[in-house]
Amino acid sequence: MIYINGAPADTGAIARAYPVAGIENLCLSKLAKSGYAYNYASVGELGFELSLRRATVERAGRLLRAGLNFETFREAYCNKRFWLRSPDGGFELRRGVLPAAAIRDIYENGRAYGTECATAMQIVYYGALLDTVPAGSFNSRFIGIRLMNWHDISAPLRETGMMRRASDTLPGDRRYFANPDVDLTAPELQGENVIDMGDGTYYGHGFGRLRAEQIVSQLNRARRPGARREAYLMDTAGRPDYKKLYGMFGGTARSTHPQAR
Amino acid sequence: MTTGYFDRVWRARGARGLKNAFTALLRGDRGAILAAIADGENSFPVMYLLAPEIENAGLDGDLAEHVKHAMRLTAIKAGDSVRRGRYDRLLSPYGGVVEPTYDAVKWMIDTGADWDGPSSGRDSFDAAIDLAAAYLASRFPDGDALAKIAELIFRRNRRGLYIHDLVWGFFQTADERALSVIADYIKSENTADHRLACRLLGLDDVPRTRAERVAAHDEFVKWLTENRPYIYLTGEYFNLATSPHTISRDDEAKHLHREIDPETRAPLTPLTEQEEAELRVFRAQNGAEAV
Repeated sequence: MIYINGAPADTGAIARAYPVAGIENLCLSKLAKSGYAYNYASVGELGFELSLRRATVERAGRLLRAGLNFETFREAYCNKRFWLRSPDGGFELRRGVLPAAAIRDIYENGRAYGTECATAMQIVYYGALLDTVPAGSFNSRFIGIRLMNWHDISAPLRETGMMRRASDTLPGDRRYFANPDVDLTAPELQGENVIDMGDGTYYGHGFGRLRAEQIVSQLNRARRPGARREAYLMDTAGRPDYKKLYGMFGGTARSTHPQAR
Repeated sequence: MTTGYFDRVWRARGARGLKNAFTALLRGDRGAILAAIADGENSFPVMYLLAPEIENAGLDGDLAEHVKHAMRLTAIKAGDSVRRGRYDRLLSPYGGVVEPTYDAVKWMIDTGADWDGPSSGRDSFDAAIDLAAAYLASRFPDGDALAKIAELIFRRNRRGLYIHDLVWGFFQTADERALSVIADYIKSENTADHRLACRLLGLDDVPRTRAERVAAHDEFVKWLTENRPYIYLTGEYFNLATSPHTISRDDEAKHLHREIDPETRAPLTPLTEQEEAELRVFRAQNGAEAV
């Protein structure tokens, strides 16, 4: 159930502003049918979350097509024009480089980059924000981006590094397939960070866009001899604090709900 | 500290001098080179550096068993399936499953943990050290080795090097000694040390003063002593979350005073009917989480 400023939302009216089969309506439908009460201060706040979720799904698809390579942190590499590789395998924004340009470069020159699945999730969220807010606002909020799985996440996106039990999982959520009995020789397959694409598939860097059972099957193949436990999708989700982001960027966001404009 | 011939040369003349010494020995008496590579005092770094020369000379079959295992692990981490296959055949001529021995992984950690590898953390040496640590922690946890692995985690962390695989390997065990040794770093004067120790043990508040650090350490040790039979590995690591809680306490097991398997979280022996009933009451009282 959705509440706007304490009152039940007219979800039918809100839904009409979006494509019928779009990610926004998919999210809206799940939120409206949920037994959990989702409270928003305004239609604009809800619209911002829906837009960012759609952008997250779209950016995940774009990152898949960008040709970003899978590498462990030891082998990680990046385009040195925009990023510096730190000794731990993370990428640090070069001094004087605009954050928006550096993030865009990963999508445009994906083959110049190699990293593992968690950092790819960060790149998806940065890309989604870039599609949702003006580049100027983005640049002023993300002066010192560092990309290194869930380490040192910029404050606006900090919550993406926290997995919490969720009443409902939605397109654009970060989910995790755990592989508790992974072979000791392959720690990079201890689990797979993925984005829920909203159509029963998940984007995981290095895996591609697959259904849950396909990801489980691939992870199971990397288990240790005598493994007792199968890989599985955890019942938690990591997601940005959409309300906090709306507070930071809402006034400048490009695509919140039309009623909010 | 090892004192084999090759190690003495390496310390005195570096990697290039070591390789030159090997080549010189190779030109001479075959008995001398065989004795030198079989020397029980050789360290893992030295044998890692000499591996290409040893293999090119066809002497890999003459390596000691623990060295063959170590070379196989470095081949695995280098993604070199040809080398790996070669060591598989040397270690198991009839094609059985090859599993590293305690002697091999202990030797790798004992003699190799103090060296960062030729590329400061970016090569198969460090990756093999991480793998050896994972085997030691999960298969053969011993107090000395766990302390050495912990020391390596904190040393790398102070220098900003990659630690996530090593931490993952270390926390393949919920061994009380492993947790205690990490807890000791809460008391460290070094900020990077006590911050990491708190992070690894799931302590959200990082103590600021020395007195607070001692108190936090003592509190954790007390918690560990009281709860050890009920602690399990959550499966949370740095790949999953910013502040993974690698260990946790099973409240139901604590309520029943029943020790659990730290890996599977299952009671070591099946619950009795009475315990099952007690558990249902406990769950009802505590409102079993609805997802």
